[in-house]
Amino acid sequence: MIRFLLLSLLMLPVTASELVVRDVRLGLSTLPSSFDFTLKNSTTDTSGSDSFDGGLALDGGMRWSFARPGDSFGLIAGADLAIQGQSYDGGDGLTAVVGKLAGGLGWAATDTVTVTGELLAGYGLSSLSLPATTAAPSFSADGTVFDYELRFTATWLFERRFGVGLSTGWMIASHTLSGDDTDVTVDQSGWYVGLMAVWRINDEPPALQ
Amino acid sequence: MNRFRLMALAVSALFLQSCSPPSVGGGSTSGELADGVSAGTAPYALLELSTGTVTYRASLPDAATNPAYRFNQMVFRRVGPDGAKAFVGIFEVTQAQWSTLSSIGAGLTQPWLAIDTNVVQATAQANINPAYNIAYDELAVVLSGYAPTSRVRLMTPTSAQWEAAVGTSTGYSWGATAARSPLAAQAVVRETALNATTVTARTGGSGLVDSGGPLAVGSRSPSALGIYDIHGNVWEWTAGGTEVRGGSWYDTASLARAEVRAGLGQGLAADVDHALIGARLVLIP
Repeated sequence: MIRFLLLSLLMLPVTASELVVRDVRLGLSTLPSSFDFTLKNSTTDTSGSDSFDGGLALDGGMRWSFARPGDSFGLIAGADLAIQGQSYDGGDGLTAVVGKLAGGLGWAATDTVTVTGELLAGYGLSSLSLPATTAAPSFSADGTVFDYELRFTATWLFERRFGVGLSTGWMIASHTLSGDDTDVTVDQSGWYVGLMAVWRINDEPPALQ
Repeated sequence: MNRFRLMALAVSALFLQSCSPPSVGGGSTSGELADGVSAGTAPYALLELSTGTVTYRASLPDAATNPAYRFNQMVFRRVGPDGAKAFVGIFEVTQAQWSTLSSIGAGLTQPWLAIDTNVVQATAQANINPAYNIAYDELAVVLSGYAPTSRVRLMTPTSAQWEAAVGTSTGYSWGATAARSPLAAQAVVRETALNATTVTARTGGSGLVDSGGPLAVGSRSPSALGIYDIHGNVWEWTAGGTEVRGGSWYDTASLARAEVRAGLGQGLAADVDHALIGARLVLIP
């Protein structure tokens, strides 16, 4: 089966179209739910594994391709701003605002379909909020997050300037937070999937010199 | 139309995947983080003495009335400045609790029985009264032998932790002076625990009065931090065994001030037991 898939990929036309990506994207994606944590203060030093009820990330950003005229392959660069929210135990949970830089490779499979593979590195602000329980008052901590992702995206233009995209990837996020005399780290890694709307602001190929 | 149906389907699938319960591989919410946060931030900790089980509470409205907190459980309050908070017992160690602790680790000891009832009245020998006539060395043996789990430990408070339980390093938990009202409400000291006429008449002789003794823990109102009997009742050992703090039922209110330390200058040493000395403990969960 794997051989068949590889063979199919090799048989795809590779010179179908010229890579021209000038995209603004707005997308929604899942987040891996499980996480590892550490928690430390003067009365507690503990660690463990847990999971969020679920979470979503709203991503807005842009991508730009750098390809020679006529090439269907080229470099892709861009930036995203993501707002992430993950609920915990029915309460607020973890929220973050992350700025990301992206770089990778793009391939124009057809005039309307583009596939990209890219690495992203992000940094942002993070906040953890847990509701009050019979055992403890409400807890909140603020801090920062580092985010690294490997992402594959396929976009399809259903009109000249507008399209949709599907993405999947593997992410690692490390949150370092502090609040109420307590230091907390939350580390997440795992697969995610996303859906996005694409606006191609310009589809003119690079000028020939 | 087919294009938009496809898009709608994809959006639906995405949301369903996100909102459905996590898969087995992804784990389900186990509450470990919440448990950790409770251990790290809860104001109160309850220790089940026989098992070493610690549970946490956001509030403890029955602290003054629940007899279990004076028998088979110990209640601790998180006090202190950021970075140095500690769980300090809200009550002095009772005779029932001491008996349980010593029977677990060190063989049952009841040092208060060695005090003549002409010195401390017999009614002070009661399960819910503070353990007294405790030497620091003996306390250390009992606490080192208490290890019901691999983690939980009981310690004597450091001076800083003891002062954190008072809420100040000078004066009283309610303020700088021994005002009559808070003194009567919160402190078991000579002025509030004994009949002054009786004390004057009897202390001219051999020392301690024969009609007094510590009261049951929690007989008076707690401080603003929820700590009982931090001023008076029995002196309390601090870590190291060279100082006791807090005064006693026999001593005047001035000796119950937070800055007063009775130690080597008063003939105190770690191996000295005394009818006016008991203990308050710190929980290391």
